[in-house]
Amino acid sequence: MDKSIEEIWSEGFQDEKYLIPPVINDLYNKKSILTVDKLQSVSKKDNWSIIPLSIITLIFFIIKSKLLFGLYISALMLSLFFLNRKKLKFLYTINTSQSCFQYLGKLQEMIKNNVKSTTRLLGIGLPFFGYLGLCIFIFESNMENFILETYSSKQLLIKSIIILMSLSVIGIISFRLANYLVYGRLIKKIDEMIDELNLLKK
Amino acid sequence: MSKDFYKTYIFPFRGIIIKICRAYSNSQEDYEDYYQEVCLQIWKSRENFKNKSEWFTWVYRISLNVCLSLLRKQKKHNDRYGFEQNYKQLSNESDLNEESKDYSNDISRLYEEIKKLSEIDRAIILLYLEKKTYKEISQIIGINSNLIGVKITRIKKRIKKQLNG
Repeated sequence: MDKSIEEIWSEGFQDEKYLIPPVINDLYNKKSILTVDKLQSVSKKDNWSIIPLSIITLIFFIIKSKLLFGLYISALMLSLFFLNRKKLKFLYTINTSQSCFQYLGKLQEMIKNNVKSTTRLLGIGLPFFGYLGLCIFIFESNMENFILETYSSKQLLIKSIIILMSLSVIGIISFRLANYLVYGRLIKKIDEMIDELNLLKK
Repeated sequence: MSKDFYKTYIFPFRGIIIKICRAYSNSQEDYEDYYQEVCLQIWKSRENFKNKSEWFTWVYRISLNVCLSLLRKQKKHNDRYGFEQNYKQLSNESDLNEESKDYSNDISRLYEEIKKLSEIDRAIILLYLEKKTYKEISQIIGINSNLIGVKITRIKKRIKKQLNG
């Protein structure tokens, strides 16, 4: 080859047809499909991780001679798994053949509703089921007589209220924290994409 | 992104964006994605441009950074999914053949050789071929201008050898 690389380069791009850029359309299409895919796979893994955890919990409490309590906690965890599975079905109703602005907006709304309903559920459900679990634990440990003898009804009522409120706060905080750690980046990405799409529209 | 922004700030510099995206992408599909992503990032970072350098330099830097980051992401992904890598290699070969059809034989061969260079050498030779001075290249890449001269001589020698071989 006699030509220098400089000649090849300048001759190669003399024709304008080599400088025709690709058509820009639906800039966020691929990105948003990937984000939806990621959200689906992360939520699936996250939910399935409850199953081995419930088995480990059951084994732990069997070893500690608390079969009833272990069964109760495992049953609660399994209920959470099925509830989550039902709730996460919405992720699979997202139609990525629509414009990404449309389905990302829908997804954002669904996530917000999901967070709201789960917060409510944990705020009310966890104290209720947690308190019930505590009672099972006390009966299984044969501590009910000791507690009834030690505390007056008033003291028991105050302690119960404190336990219920603490469980409610712990439930909400741990859900928000776990949600932030596992889905925080993805949710932020969706919010950013929607903001940018809004800006692009202008 | 408004059409005016694209027409004024991106379209006149499409040449360098196209050349960088071609040099760093492995298929026609990747090339189109890279081009779109570069345009988007230029638009998104428009407010960070402080007139301290030329707009060309700004566009070049963004294009290079975007392409390198996408390339690394892809490598990471391919390393994780070995199967997909093999599949991608097969599809890339056909894509490259498709790409070659669009360009003259000489320039496609030159591109093939540029793609074999390291990430930094690709960046240097692209700037050199865009007729940028050693000083300008040194400012953009952040390497001493004397070293740029040595690097360019080596890269040119290597490419020439491959083209003649």
